[in-house]
Amino acid sequence: MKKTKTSYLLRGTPSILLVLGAGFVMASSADIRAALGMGAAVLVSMLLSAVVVSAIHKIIPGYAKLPTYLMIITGFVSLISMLMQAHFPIVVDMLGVHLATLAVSAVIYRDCEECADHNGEATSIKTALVTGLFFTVVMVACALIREVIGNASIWGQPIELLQDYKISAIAGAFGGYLVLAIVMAVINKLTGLHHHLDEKEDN
Amino acid sequence: MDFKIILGIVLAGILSENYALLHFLGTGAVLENERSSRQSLTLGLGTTLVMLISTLITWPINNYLLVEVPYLQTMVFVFVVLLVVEVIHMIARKIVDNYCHAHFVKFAINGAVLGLCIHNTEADYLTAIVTSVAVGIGFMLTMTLYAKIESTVDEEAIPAPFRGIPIALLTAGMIVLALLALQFKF
Amino acid sequence: MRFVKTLGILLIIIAIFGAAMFGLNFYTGPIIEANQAGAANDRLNAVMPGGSAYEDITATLTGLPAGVVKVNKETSGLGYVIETTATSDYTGGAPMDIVIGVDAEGKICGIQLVSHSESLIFGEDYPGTYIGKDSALAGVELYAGSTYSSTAFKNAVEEAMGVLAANDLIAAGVKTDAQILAEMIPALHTGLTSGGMLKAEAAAASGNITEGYKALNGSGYAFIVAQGETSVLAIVNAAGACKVYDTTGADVTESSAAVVEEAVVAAEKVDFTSAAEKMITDKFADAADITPIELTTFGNVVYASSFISGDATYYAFYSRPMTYGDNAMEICTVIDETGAIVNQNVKEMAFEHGVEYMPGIKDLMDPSSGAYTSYLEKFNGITGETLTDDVLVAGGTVSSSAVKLATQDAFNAFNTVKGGEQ
Repeated sequence: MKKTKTSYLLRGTPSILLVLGAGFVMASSADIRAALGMGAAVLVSMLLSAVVVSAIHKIIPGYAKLPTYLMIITGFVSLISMLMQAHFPIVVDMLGVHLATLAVSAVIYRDCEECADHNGEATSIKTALVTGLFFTVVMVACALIREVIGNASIWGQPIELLQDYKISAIAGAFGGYLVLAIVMAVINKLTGLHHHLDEKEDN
Repeated sequence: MDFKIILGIVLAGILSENYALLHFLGTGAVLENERSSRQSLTLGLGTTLVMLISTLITWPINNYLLVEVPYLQTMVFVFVVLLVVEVIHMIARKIVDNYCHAHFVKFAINGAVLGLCIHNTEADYLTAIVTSVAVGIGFMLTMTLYAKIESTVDEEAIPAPFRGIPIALLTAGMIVLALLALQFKF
Repeated sequence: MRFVKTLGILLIIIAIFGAAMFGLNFYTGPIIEANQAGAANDRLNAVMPGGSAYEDITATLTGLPAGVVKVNKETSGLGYVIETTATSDYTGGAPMDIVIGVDAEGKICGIQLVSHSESLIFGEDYPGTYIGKDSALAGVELYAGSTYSSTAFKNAVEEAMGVLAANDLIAAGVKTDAQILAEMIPALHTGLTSGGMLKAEAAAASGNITEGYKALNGSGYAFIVAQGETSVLAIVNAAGACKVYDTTGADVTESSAAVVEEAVVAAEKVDFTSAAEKMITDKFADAADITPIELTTFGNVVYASSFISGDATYYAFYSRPMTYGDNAMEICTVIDETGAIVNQNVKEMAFEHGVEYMPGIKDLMDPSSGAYTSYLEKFNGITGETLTDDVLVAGGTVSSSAVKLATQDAFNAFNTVKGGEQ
C-alpha cells in the first residue's frame, strides 16, 4: 500500500488534477465549513464512482466509457448533494451551483478514467482516498487562510480581535487564486514535487 | 427585448460576471488549456454552441417536467449536455475539414456549461438564451486569452516551487484583478 | 449502432440512479422541506420570543389592507406575526419590508424593519419604540429628520394591528384623548401639516395646556387643553383666530371661552405683512389701497388682503406651505372678484437655501426656466371648483402637492371673505 501511495503522489497526479479542480477548490475555500463539505463530497463521490467503475469497466465498451462514467459520477454526486441538503443546508447554500457541477468536474472523471478503469477495486479505492484527501487538505488549508484573513472569522464565528483588520479581497475571487497559488507553492516546496514536474511532462 | 439589456447581459457575460474566472465554473478547462489561439477559438465556439443548445433544451425541461422532481435536475441536465456535445461532435466530424479535436467531448462537458444551465433556469427563456451566448463568448475569449498569456510565461525565471500550477493560478489571478476592476468590488 | 448501444447503457444507469434518488427523496424530502420552513421561521421567531411553529391565517381574515403580505398565527397561542410592507412618498422605490410580532394580549412584542430602499431612513432604534404598544400605538412618535419614512412605517404598523383588532384576534387598544385630538389636527389646520403629516414643533405646555404644536411655517398653533376630566383641541391661526373642538370632532368654541383665551395668549403671532406686500407689488406694480383682511380660516394662508389694480379689486392670499427638508415655500395667490386666479406667484424659499432637489422640481423652480413660467400660468383662471390634481408635477410631487394645498387654503380663505361681505 505504501508503495502505491508514494508512487501515485510522486507521479504528481493529484496536483495535475488540481488544475482541473481549481474551480471548485477556489469556490469552496472561502469558508472552512464549505471547504470541509466540498472535500467530503469530492472524497465520497470519487470513492463510490471508483468502486463502481472498477467493477464494471470490463463490460463497458471503449466508445461508451466517457458518457457512462460521467453518468455514474453524476448519479453519486446527486445522491450526495441530496443528503447534504438534508443535513448540512448551510454548506449547500454556500456551495450553490458548484456542488452540482462537481458532477462534470474533470477531477473525478480523470480519476476514474486513469485509475479505476485499469485497476481493481482495492487500488481504485486507495487512489480515490489519496486524491480526495489531498483535495480536502488543500481546500481546508486555503479556507483557513481566506476565512481568517479575509473575513476575520473561523467556522462562521467572528474573531473580535481581527474585525478591523480584515482584507476582504482575500475572501473574494482574487484571493482564491492568490491563496491557492501560495498553498500549492508551499506544498511543492515541502514535498519536493516540483522536481518531478519535468518527468511528468515527458509521460 | 431592449438593446440596452442585451448589451448589459453580453458585457456581464464577458467581463463582470465571467464564468470561468470569477464564478469558478469551468476554471479547470481554462487553466488546463495550452492550445494555440486558433484551436482555442474553435473549441470555445463549439462550447458556446453547446451552451446555447443545452439552454434551449434544459430550460423547458426544468420548468415543465422537473417541477415535481427537482432532485433529478443535475442528472437530466448532464444527460442533455452529453447528448448535445456528442451530436455536435458527430456533425462536426462529418462537415468540418480537418476537424481535429478529439478532446472536444471531454472539453465541452465542463462546469461552465452545467452551471450556466442551472443558473439560467431562474431567468426567463429569452434572457436565458441571450445569457448563454454571452457567457459562451466570454468563456471562449477567456480561454484564448489565458492560453496566449500562459505561453509567454518564462518558467525559468520563476522560483522553483511556483512553477507549474501556482504560476498558472497567479496568471489567471492577474486577469481576475482586471475583471474585478469592472465589477467595482474586490 | 454504437450510439444506440451507448444510449442504452446510459438509460440503464439513469434508471438505476433515478430510482435511488426517488427512494432517497422519501428520506431527504421531508427534512429539506422542514429546513426551508425553518429558515422562513427564523424571520418570524426574531419578533416572537419563544415562538416555534406558525400557521398562515391570511386567507381567513377580512379587510386586509394592500400592504399586508401575510399574517401568521403562532400555533402554541403566543400570538401573531404580521409580515407587511410600507411605501413612503419620499422615494417611491421598493417598499419597506416589516415584520411585527404581536403577543396574545395585543401588545407588540417584537418589530423589525427587514429591508428598505429609502434614501433617508429613521434610526435603527426607532422600531424598538413600538414594543409594548397596543393597536392604539399611544406614545409612538415620528422620527425627527425622516418624517416620511417614519410616517409610512407607523401607518403600516397601525394598519396591520388594525387588521388583528378588526378580526377580533386581539383586543383593540384604546386611544387617549390627546392622541385622538392630535390625529384631528391635519384635517382641521392644514398649516401644521404637509402630505397628511404633522409638520410642527413642540410648544411649551402651561396652565391647562398639556401639549402644544407650533407650525414650522408660522401659520399657527394647535393645543391640547385639559378641561375637567377630558381634553379639547384648540387651534389658532396666524392672525390669532381660535377654534376649539372636542374629541368627537364637534366645534365647541362657543362654550369654551376660557380655552380660547388661554390658547390665544399662548400663541405667538408672526407678522408677514411686509413679505406679502412685496410679493403683491412685484406682480402688480400699481397695486393701491392694500387693505389687510382678518383671517378666519386655519391653513397655510398667513396673510390676506384686498387691493386695487387698474379698475378692478383683487384679493391676495399669502401662504407658506411646507416642503422638503422642513422648509416653507412662499406663495402669493391673487384672486379676482369672480373667484378665479389671476396670478400665482411661487417663491421657493427652500431652493434658495440650497437644498438638493429632484431633477424635475429643480428645473421647475428655476425662475429663469420656461418650465417655471408655464407651471405658474397653469393656475390662471382656476377657481375653487376647478382645482384638480392637474397642477401636480411628476418628479416634484411633494413640492407641487404643497402648492396645491396652499392654493386650496387660499380659496377657502377667499370663500369666507366673500361670504362675510354678502
